[in-house]
Amino acid sequence: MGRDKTLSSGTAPPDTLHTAGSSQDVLAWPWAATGEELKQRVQDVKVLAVGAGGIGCELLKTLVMSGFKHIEVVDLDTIETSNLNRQFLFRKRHVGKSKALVAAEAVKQMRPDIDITAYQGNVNESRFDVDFFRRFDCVLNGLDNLEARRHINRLCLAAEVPLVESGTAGYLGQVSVHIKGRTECFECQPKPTSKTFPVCTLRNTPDKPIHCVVWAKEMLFPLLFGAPEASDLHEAPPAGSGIDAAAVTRNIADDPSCYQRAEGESSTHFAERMFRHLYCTKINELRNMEDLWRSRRPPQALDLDALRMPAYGDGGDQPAAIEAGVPATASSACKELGLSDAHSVWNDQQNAAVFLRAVALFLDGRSHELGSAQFDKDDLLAVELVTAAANLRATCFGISRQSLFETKGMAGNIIHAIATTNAIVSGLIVVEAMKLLARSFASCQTSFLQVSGSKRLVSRMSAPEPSAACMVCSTAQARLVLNANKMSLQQLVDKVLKGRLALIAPSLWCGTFSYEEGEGLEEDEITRNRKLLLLPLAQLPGGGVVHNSILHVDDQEQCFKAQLIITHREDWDDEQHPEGFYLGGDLPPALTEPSVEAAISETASPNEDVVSLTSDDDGVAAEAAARPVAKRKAIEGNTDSSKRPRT
Amino acid sequence: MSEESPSAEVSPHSNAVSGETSMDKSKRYDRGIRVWGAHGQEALEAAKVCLLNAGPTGTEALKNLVLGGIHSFTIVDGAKVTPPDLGNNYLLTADGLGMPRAQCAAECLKELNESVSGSYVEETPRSLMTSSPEFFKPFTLVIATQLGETDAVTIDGICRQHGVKLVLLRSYGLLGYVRPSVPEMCVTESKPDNKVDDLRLSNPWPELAAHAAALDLSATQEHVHSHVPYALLLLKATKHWKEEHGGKLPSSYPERTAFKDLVNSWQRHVDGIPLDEENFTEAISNAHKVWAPPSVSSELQAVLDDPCAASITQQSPDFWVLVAALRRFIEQEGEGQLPLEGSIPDMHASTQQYLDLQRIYRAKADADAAAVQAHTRALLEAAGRDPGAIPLPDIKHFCKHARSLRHVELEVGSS
Repeated sequence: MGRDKTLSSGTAPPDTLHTAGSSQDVLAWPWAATGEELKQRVQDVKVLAVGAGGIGCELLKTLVMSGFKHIEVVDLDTIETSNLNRQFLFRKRHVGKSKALVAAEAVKQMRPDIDITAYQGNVNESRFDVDFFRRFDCVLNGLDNLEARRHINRLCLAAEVPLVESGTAGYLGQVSVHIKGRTECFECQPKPTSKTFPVCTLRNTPDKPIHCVVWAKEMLFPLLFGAPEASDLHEAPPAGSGIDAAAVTRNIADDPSCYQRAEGESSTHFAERMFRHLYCTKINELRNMEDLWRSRRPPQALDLDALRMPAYGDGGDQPAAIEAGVPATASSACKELGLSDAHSVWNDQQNAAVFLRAVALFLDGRSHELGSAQFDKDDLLAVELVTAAANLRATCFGISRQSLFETKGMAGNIIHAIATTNAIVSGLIVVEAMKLLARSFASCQTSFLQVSGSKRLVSRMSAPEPSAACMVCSTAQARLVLNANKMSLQQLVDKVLKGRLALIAPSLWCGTFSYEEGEGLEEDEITRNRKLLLLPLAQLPGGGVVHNSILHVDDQEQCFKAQLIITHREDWDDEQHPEGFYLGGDLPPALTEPSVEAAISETASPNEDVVSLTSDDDGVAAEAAARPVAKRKAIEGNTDSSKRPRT
Repeated sequence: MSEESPSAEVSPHSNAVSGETSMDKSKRYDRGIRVWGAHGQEALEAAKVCLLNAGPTGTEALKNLVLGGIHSFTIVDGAKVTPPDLGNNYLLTADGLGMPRAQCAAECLKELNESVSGSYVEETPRSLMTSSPEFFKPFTLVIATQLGETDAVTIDGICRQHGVKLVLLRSYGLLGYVRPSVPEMCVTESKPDNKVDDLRLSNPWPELAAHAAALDLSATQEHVHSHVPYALLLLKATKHWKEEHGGKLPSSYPERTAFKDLVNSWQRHVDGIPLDEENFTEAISNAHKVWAPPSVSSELQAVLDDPCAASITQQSPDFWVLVAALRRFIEQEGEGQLPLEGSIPDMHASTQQYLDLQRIYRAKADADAAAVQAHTRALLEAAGRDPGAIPLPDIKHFCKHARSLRHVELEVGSS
């Protein structure tokens, strides 16, 4: 914890205070809000703020102005320029510094008598374990991603600490309260999963702008500048992904080494070679696969020589502006080319020029990143390259092109985010936290902030009761549909357990077979695991994981346990389930349905359209927290495949 | 800023010190622009805001505006910082005790965004309103907080007289109110939830009709046939139908079904089995666009009929000049139609066919905007203004959003 910093005023030992709230009387809400009793509890308790971003900054301010004195805050991220339109505890001079540390110092200045501890870290780290969470009277979330939300939910359940969960997107916002055994947990309602696209659509038959953007960002970018193994542009599809590994895809699998710069090759030459390879050679290869184009328009290759901007002359001469001494470390191809309007849509010539220049700039100016670069929505040059590369591909396939601004939004899963919404939501979080401290659990509410002219700004409903069908806070089983002959143990672990169930260190067993991950394994166990991971589920020892097997999964760090009942399916519809599996909460109906229905009829707000969503904050994708209300609109925008849980 | 003589008036026009390049700005404001758009951001960056009373509610509101990137702000507050202020206003610190509250708040708020300029007046709002009501004239927006009824009525009168927008707000414990007070709002970009496609399928202009007529479906190769944009298929089908039905469009359910059957019958067959061409599927599912084209909404009609557009004077705001020009266009060149928006939806088509079609729609939109421009020039000239006072890009922008123009009249406050 070397980077952590305690900003304690050194007055009271916090550990003796935090349990003060738990044994006290119920105070009547809302009258308690202005009473001395609650004021005292607010001063005595210890709260954890998870996230110091858009919601986090507002939340910390509201907490200290409301009299909270013992606060800890966790955030992994560092401050970026695009945070400054709403994360008001940060200044331009703080860009690059830890959000948690800067935010803690800023609120400490507002109220020097508070005791605040900041951690720059990922909430998934083992130091933030159940014992860590037990020290708090209440956990307040201001997160920006589903994985971390699920993780916190499980730890709060295990530690029996109440959780106030929140999210914002543009003018919309939501706050909910989760108390073990009393209200539903964060995962009682199914969450929309991030949108994924079939790999063969991305690679061979794109028909929407987003297909081209995802191709440029997730397949091309890592291949050119990042870790090539992160791209599956050149690989055959993984077995069990549902993609028929027919000749179609094998034919176009190509050698990753052709995406590497040859010895002594100039950056400009490399850029042009890539252009010809991607938009001429590869497109013509695809075009020759006639089976693909029976009912589709075949793609058209681009001719680089016809697309050169006048300034480029021929034979790869550099444009005048570059010769005139713009340093090779310049951060923007658009700047050099005079394309300053992020909202305009470039023509083919401009896209070609940006592509060539951006590739060359990356090689010349950022060679230290080569081999490990990752796409970042705040990296201007990367966004320029992705925009141009996606647009050129769009042209080949007759798809409409997008502006830089639009492409950035699509590639970065950017969620609209403004200070006002975050401020309102933070206020609501603190109100709910006050109700928890008053032990007035019956008055806890789920709040929705909405914009439609005719509706109330905030609509609220009582916090729903727990769902007996929940795998997380109850002991329900789920049905996992997959092809046991194709899906490997590795894919089960990565896609289902880590990807969908958000486990960090999963272990599983089925009959006599067991598998464990995590630190502290012996050398021979690691070797054994490595072999097992490659096997299809049906061929695992002990009879395999097959139709009707009961798979026990568990994550000790999260205190999570669940049972998955396997349904094997041979035929698989790649379009409908590009992930290659389906997870359903199908349960013995008599056991669960009536109580769920009862909970809905008692608690759901009757007539309102309840908008549900989640997440600022970093402006990165949100996932909707679904509510048990029939009329519901979920905000969805997550096309991000990177699953890095963050605080 | 006038820290030296705090009671002196400070012009809200003081130039912002621009410490940021345009690239920094687009980064800083990116997430906001995704909410209110580039024009919304422009309006924000031009806004001069005056805050009356630097209490917690007022400074919170101003904080969010400063973060969003307004042009400048001025705080009017006559109080000094006292210990209770430190308890509820996070902008104020113990260092500021005894100093003017307006000054302390202004300095802290300026730190939030270096491209926003800020100033303050150490005087109570009531005294300033009485002594110099003209003070408020240069502002875009006044945020009046924690005022009593009498003062609220006074500032409302001043703001309305000068055409300054006013938001009144007050909070007390868990209660509070926010009350906008503006006589009207003219909205060009109302950002409707549903975008409508204006394709003119039943009444194409000559170039579009000629383009559709030039295509002989039966003579095309299989590959071309399955990539004719659905708009062209529907244009051809509509012409065919009208010729056979005395110029009428399909109007009853059986007729509409027959119309779709007509489109379907043009599909290619192999061994008597239709090919299920995607463009034909699209044409059938979009057939309603033939008999239910977008209409002029009642809200838009109200804008067009507004008396402000009936007589244009030298003082008429540009919005109403453009509405008047729009009216003339609808009555004359438009023959009852709005200017064409110009964009077309995604269609299953070959790139070339799609681009050709797009070009025809764009050309018509440009021609319509040019006609609106001619009316605008005439109106401006007749009103004694420079005929070129409203530039073509603004007129094009207005035409593009013509279908969703809104005029909002708010209730008149108590006075």
